[in-house]
Amino acid sequence: MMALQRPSSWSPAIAELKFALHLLLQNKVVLVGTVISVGVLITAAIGPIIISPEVATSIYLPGRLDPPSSAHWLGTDDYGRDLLQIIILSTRLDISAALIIVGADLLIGVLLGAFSGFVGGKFDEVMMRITDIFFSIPGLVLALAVAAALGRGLNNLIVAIIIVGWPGYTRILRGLVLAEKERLYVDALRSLGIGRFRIILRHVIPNTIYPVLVQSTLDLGGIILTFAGLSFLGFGATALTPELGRLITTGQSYIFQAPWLVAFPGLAILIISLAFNLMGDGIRDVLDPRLRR
Amino acid sequence: MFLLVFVLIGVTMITFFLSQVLLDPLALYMTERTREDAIPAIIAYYHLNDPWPIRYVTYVWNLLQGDWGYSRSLSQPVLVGMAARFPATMELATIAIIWTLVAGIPFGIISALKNNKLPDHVSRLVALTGVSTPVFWLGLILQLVFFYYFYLLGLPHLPSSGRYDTTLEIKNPVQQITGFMVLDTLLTGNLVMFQDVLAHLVLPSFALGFISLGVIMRIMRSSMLEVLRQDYIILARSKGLSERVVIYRHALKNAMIPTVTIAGLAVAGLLGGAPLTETVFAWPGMGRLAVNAIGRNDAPLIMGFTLIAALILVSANLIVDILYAYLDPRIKY
Repeated sequence: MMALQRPSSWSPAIAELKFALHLLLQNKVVLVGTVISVGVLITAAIGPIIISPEVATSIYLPGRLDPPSSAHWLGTDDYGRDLLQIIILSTRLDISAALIIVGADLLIGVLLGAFSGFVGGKFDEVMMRITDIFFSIPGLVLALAVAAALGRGLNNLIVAIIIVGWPGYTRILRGLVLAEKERLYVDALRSLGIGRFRIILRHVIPNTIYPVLVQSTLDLGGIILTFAGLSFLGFGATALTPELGRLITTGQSYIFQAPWLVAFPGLAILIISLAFNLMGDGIRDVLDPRLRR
Repeated sequence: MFLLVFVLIGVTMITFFLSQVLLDPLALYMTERTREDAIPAIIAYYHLNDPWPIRYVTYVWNLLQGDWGYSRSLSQPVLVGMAARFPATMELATIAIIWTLVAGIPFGIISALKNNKLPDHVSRLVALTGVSTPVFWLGLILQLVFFYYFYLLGLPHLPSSGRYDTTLEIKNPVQQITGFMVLDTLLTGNLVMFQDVLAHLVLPSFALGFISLGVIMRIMRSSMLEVLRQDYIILARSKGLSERVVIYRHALKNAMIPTVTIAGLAVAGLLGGAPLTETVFAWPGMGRLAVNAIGRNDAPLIMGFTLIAALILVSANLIVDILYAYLDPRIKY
């Protein structure tokens, strides 16, 4: 008689995760994206440690608009600040803003989506119509309108982009929860007398949140662009605050005289956004079995 | 249709909330020259002391009457100012979407046929770069290269801003018919201005469309891959049909369905890109108007732009739904 096979200690979800990780490491593009993303995160984190934040406010007018040289690799800006140092300092603001925005959107979107799918009925209907409304206004236009109504300022800009972003996650999670709530374990939990909130928060969300997290990595790049774009238009950071979009606004006045002031900060935005997109794109490809070919 | 009306009610609720509840509605109508004794008259005229549901109904009623508020920065009713700039934005967006579709669909097909070969990798790179490029930065770099550096090198350079050359326009006045300058100049046979207008469109429409290009390419690729594995394609091939006929007669139409959906969504991207692109290229459209309004606290104008953007997006999605029925006769409404 065959020995009874011991059930694998890994749940199918974890086994799937391990398989996905294996595929991820094989994909060179994803690897590059991940390495750059991690590099960018580290730069953002340690930027203010290796470069004194005072650099941002130290003005040296005789050395303004110097072209890239061995002393200033990326040249200097119109205040005479070293552009490379300013860009490094700037990444912190752009990245942390993007992370805060995605985090807040995930929190709002996941909670509303889970309750919407699980509770169903009128609540679900209302939630879905609200998301319809949000989807019918182009994201950046709505963010612009909200930011304009809230007034200038960094926090207001972040709030405006948060308000625009959550409905996507709500939609995805609601769809997943609709399928998940028909599973047997949910009935079992119910029959044990466990409350709705607890089932949703402790059991349903952890089982469905995965695709939403993948989507959020994909969204990071876009959010950095939106944030920098609205900052470019004059929301958010003030003139001396190191922020990438804002640097381009300043550089725009000197575009023909000192093109590096526009070129390099924009390139930094492009690299950051591209890295997150490469990572997210790869993670999605690997996790979506339909695309695994 | 019901959904359309519903969505628009929702959108007006948002703009109403933003402009009337969040902001001090009285401040919008006050200048430093407003006399004290005029304030009660303003409050009465705009129903500012009424409870907000009544104010909302008044707001929507006014919108329907064509009263979208008065723009202080333009010294014009919002709707008049928007209408004057609507064609410029639409012309730019239309040219952008046309070139992205014309370039994106064939490239998508090629990268599906050469799956995981060089063209596929190139299209993937273009797609990812497209969604990662800040459109305002791309605009500035295009100006720098194709206007300034080409000019310095004595090469034929492209104009960097505006819709047309104003000095050229004095000699060859353009008669306004549709507001779309490409059409107007062509209809009146004004070929000098037609060339000039086209030249002015090249850089902004490239910058604006670049984001959507990659997205359309990738969707076309993946839906083409999906379709090519279907049984009827194998049948078509085993009948001995040429590869050309198989792809263009049998596969393309089915693979177009997801692409059309994405093209509808791309309209959202184009409208969102409008404020940035128009600002960078000094394009006299609605987006730039809205951006200028921000600095002057001109909320009615910004909300007007938001409403128009939503109207355009909802209409675009309606057109997409109609196209579905044409592409796939099985879909009935």
